[in-house]
Amino acid sequence: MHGTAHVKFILSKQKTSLNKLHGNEVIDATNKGDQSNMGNCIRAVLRKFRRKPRNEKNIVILFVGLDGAGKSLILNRIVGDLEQNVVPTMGFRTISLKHKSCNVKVYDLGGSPQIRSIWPRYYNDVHGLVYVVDASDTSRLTENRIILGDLISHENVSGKPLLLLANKQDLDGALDELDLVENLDVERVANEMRCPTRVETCSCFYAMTKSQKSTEGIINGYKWLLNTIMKNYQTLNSQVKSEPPIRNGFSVRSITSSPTPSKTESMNSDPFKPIHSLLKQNKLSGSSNCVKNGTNGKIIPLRRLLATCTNKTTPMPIEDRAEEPDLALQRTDCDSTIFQVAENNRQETVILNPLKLKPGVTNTRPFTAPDNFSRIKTEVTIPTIQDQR
Amino acid sequence: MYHYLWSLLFWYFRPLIKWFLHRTTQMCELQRICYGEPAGARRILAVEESLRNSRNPDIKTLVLYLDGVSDRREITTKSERGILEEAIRTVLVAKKINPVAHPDFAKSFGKCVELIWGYRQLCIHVEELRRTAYDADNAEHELMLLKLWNLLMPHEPLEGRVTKQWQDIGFQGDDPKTDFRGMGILGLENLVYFAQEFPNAAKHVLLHSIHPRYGYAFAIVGINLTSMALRLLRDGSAKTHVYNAVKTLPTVRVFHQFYCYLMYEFDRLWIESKPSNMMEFSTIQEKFENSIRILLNNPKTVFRVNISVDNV
Repeated sequence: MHGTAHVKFILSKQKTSLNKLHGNEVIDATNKGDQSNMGNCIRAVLRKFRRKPRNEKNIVILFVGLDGAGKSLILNRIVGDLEQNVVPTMGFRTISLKHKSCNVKVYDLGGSPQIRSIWPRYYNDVHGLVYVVDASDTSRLTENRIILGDLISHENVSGKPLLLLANKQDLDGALDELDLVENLDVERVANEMRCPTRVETCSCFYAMTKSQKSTEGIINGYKWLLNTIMKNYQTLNSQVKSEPPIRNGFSVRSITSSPTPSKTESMNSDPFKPIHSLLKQNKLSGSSNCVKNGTNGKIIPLRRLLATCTNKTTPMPIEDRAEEPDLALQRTDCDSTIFQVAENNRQETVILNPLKLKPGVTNTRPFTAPDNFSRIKTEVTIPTIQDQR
Repeated sequence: MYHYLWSLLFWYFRPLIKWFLHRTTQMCELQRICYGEPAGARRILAVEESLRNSRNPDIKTLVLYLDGVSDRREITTKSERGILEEAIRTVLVAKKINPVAHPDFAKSFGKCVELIWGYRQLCIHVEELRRTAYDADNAEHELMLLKLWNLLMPHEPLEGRVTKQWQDIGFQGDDPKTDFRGMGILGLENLVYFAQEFPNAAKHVLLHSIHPRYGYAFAIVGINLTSMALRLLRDGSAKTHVYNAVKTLPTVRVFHQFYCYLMYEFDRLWIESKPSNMMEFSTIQEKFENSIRILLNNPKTVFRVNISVDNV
């Protein structure tokens, strides 16, 4: 509370100073003949002032995937470049984009086996990742699974949002997202490493009939990724900035700590688990969540996560699903029928912490925590929260 | 703003200057260029500019006609003579030049026309090759791929069509066909030409590419350089080289040679800059492209692959 009041005060202060400057500008313009020069000068000063309060965010996104998955072409689609001819990316290329008030920098890494060993050097600097899979090439699924598993379980990647694109849907025999998730074992690794993940199908080549739909996946996924990053910007950014040794300790702890966290930890430390969303989720979980039959019944966190997952995969915010009713509708027809059986069991496995259910507790949640994550907290604590408060 | 002013001035004053020069020298602009400028890129570029800026209706139709012919790739060694004679006749009539008094003009102007529209035709041809995707069912393509292997690795037989061995010469996976995306058969033709015509240079470059510290993917870099060569060709920067390098109708061979030069020089720059890993490719490639563009800005530039491979 104190913090927010303070911030407001600063903002209002700056506003008044801006107003003053505006006043000055008017006077200068009328008094002096040399308008343009003076105007430029003042505009520059104004811009400087305006920049500060907005506090522009710099987001770095990494595009990875096997060679020939279509990373560069997808990126071209995002940029709006219609160039269809991309050569295999040697090394990487950087592209700077704007999203709302953020500067987005995208690293498009080459996927050839020779340079995959260099990928990890970039993991530390990124806020989110895009993994592109050639869904039509079933022969490389094993390779994909290994690479993706390595990627997600890398200490510098865990916890960062991941967008999985099932590319090349225009080709015959392309896997859809459900098959892909199953084949790549995404749920297990993503849950273990607490990576918010979303799967989208897409295609870069326009078939005549579904030209809109094919690129929709790219754009939706990209927006989701950026929104997720922006909501968790502080957490992710501190992760980016902090030195590897710290995270080393953190990752070790995540493995050793018990699956049922202590009270204090569960209340204060997890930015991914706002309490009101848990309440909401409890209400909702019985109704219409579509769940995949988890093969691995022993892992409770997986089931819990599945409880909140939508037709896409893992930790999708519940609010998001409401925003995309059409997408949800498209899938639920098959999902609900197949997976309804699992629902009852899942319900029981959710361990309710009475503390979390108290509505009053909500205030103790760190205000930096995103209120979008309905994922149930399992074991990991994010040490950086303490610094932020 | 300045650009607009300049084009306005250019539009009104150019005819005036031209008229004045015509009066004083008793020669039209094309003649002055053909006599004044040294043969090669400078003359041809100037002639090209003059023809494109011409407001004479006959010359305008001639330019349009030649554009159409070259876009359809109809300039061949057979049809070439007729087309050139037609072009020369049109200019002689339009500019009222006496062919008996100016025998050299017809000759040098013909050469210019040949190269200008030959270049245009070359672009179309190369573009067509690029658009031809590598087809694993096409025996011709497959043979060319095997030829590339045999040229680069003569002492090592290929174990199979799909094998990890392809990575030895710098393809990404175990089947090279996907790597030709974007550049199609052009990328392969470039590589084959390089390995065939400059075997020593190719081996030298390949050896560098498997350097334990400064190594890179030979074939992938080759395809990336094909893309760069094509870029230079498309935006007309490569005109300087082509106009200087050939004396007859430019064929795809010129492009291949240009490519070989790029490949060889890039390798040298790469080894010289001692990159820490392959991720530096994009920066080095950018640097390389800039230096090539600077060189091409000089109308005297002509690239020749001077093979100075020391056999150590």
